[in-house]
Amino acid sequence: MANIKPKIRVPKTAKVGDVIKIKTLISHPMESGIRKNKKTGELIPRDIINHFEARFEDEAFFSADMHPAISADPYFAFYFKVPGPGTFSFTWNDDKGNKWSLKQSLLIA
Amino acid sequence: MPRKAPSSRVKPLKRRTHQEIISRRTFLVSAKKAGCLLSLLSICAPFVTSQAKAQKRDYKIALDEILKGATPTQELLSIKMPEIAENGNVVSVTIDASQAQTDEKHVKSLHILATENPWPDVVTFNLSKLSGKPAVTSRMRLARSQKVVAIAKLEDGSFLLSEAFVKVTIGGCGG
Repeated sequence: MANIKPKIRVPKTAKVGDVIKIKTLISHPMESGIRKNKKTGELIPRDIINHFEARFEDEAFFSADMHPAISADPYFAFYFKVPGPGTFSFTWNDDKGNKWSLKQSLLIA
Repeated sequence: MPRKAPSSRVKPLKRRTHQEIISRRTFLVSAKKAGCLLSLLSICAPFVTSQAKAQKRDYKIALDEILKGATPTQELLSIKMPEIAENGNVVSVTIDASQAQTDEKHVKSLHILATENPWPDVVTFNLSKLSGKPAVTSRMRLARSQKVVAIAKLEDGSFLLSEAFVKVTIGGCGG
């Protein structure tokens, strides 16, 4: 589990009022909890990323509550209207209590 | 190996209504109270536990939980999915409610439900005034060919609904 890496694609600069596209991706198996171990026949316990949140200057503007029907390596593309310069922070939480986060700042061109 | 009750072979579980499941449960409880034969209990007990593990839910219950009695209008919301998905494990989905958004009235949340998945809830997106365009792209799992439903909740409490039918060649449930 150590090699789970989140990735984001956010423009580094933008103009005030622009609507920018943000893409996020994290490598995670997203174990659904209904799959069986083929050798033992036992259910593999559920382990998914259940929450994702995107913040700008500590104000949440986009969040996702996920269920097991989201594919492995959850990917999201969404939009943001630039109010001014600031810092984005993105966090992912999984069922085991792990948390990953990334930060990126946005400059006004 | 958990044994299934003979009736489950005749009538698959997913087709049963909520009321029918409850009546079966209440029947089991009353049978137990009456001191039913041990052999009968040993047949029924594994069925009850396997039902709890299977995590199944009716699509209508999930839909009611979002709408809470409101009637959605079928316009201004678009859901884009492939008509045929070769792999049910990864099916791209794009929902866009930008036609419904005005300066005074923003889209509060977007929901995706898969009608024939064992667990119909897929994802809920919470948006705010800062999300410039109420559109999201993601990837989801589909157990079999089915209808996928997108719902948008607006700031005034009204709902929009849109549907897409996807044919799945290989289901994405594993096991």
